[in-house]
Amino acid sequence: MMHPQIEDEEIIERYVRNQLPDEERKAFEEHFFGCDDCFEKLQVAERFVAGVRDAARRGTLSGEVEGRSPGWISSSWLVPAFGVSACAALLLAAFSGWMYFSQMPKMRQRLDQSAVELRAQQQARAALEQQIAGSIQPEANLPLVMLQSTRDVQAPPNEVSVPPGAKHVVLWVEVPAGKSNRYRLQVDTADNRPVETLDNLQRNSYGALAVSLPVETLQPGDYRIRLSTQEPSPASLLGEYRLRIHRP
Amino acid sequence: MSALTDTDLVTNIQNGQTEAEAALYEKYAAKVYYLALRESRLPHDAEDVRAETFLRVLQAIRGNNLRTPAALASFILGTTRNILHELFQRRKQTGKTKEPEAADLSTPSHEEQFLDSEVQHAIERTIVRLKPRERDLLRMHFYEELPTQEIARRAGIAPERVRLVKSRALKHFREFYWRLARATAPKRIDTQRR
Repeated sequence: MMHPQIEDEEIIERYVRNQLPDEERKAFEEHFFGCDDCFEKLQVAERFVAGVRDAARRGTLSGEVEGRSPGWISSSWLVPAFGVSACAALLLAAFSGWMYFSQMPKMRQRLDQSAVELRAQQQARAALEQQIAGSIQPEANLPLVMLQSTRDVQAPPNEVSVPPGAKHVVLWVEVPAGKSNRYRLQVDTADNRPVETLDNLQRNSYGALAVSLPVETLQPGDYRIRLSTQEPSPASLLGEYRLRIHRP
Repeated sequence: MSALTDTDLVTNIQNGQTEAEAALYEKYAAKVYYLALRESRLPHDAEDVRAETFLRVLQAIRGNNLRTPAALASFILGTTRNILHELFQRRKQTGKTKEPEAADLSTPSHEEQFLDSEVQHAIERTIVRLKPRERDLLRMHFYEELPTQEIARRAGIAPERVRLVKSRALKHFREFYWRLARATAPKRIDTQRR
């Protein structure tokens, strides 16, 4: 038996798989007993076939396992690498669990609290903005009263009717010239509870003091208003007025 | 000594050189053991066959009973076959087992003698290099033992392609195996038991 025949007819593989006719088998044995190269190939072929059959039996020789490498699984570096990865995954899972079950409720509570505070601030801001908007808008039909002083307690008081929607009440007080440069107007209720005190008032070109008071401070009822000088000291009472507020 | 021709070995043995006997054993022991193991399927029987073969071969050489020194390989093979035949006769007489010819040879029992961790590792690395269809092809050919035409039909390839895939897989395996075997040299000769 010659090498070309051994190669062409796959004699070695067929010998390993016991597929050679008796004559060819004996002829090949004669050959490899005298041919070290063919004997070496025969030994490799025996191992190859044994390995392939073993792999097929173990199910690793399947087209469905593309990309899977049993050798990798048994390789020395993959096991510790897998172990490190598994530990890292466990730590990450523990940290995530701690965050979710311990920290997240606290953070959610803080967030809710912050949201409540934010809503309150927004409401306060909206109220202030509304007030500012109201204060800078022009106001028509402003209620005004020209205060007249009287010493007669039986005389009717100064009266003013505050219409709905009015925001201020204007007090107009005529002051004789030469008394002072600065004046104080003190508003009290009829039972002497202070309502408002206005300092540093000056006479206008009509020789009067003009003062506006928010209607919120002047609920319907009677008030006592006292005008006094601020300069020069000491202060002296110039006049006392009675005022009655109406709401239609 | 191992580079000597068979004729030189015979001559030197006949001249009483014990080194030539060792060289003869070194040259043919693995082949005798392989054939004996393949036929007898039992390692200890293979070892006995190998020992008996060399005993008879050396006696023949020393006694000038070898017709042609150049045909030493054929003489050793013939002696091995004779001893195996005697072994089978003894087995038959004791009713231990059947002769190889009468046994089911579809799965040679000596196969496990070639299967070690290096072989498995080399096969795994070879498989990784194969495409899924090529793995199926090897399985169908070596494990399911389907005819080449049927494998080609199932795989949707030309029959010549089957041989090419086998050849390439064997080449990869050879490279991986010898690389591993060199790293674990003492184990490599287990199936050759010199």
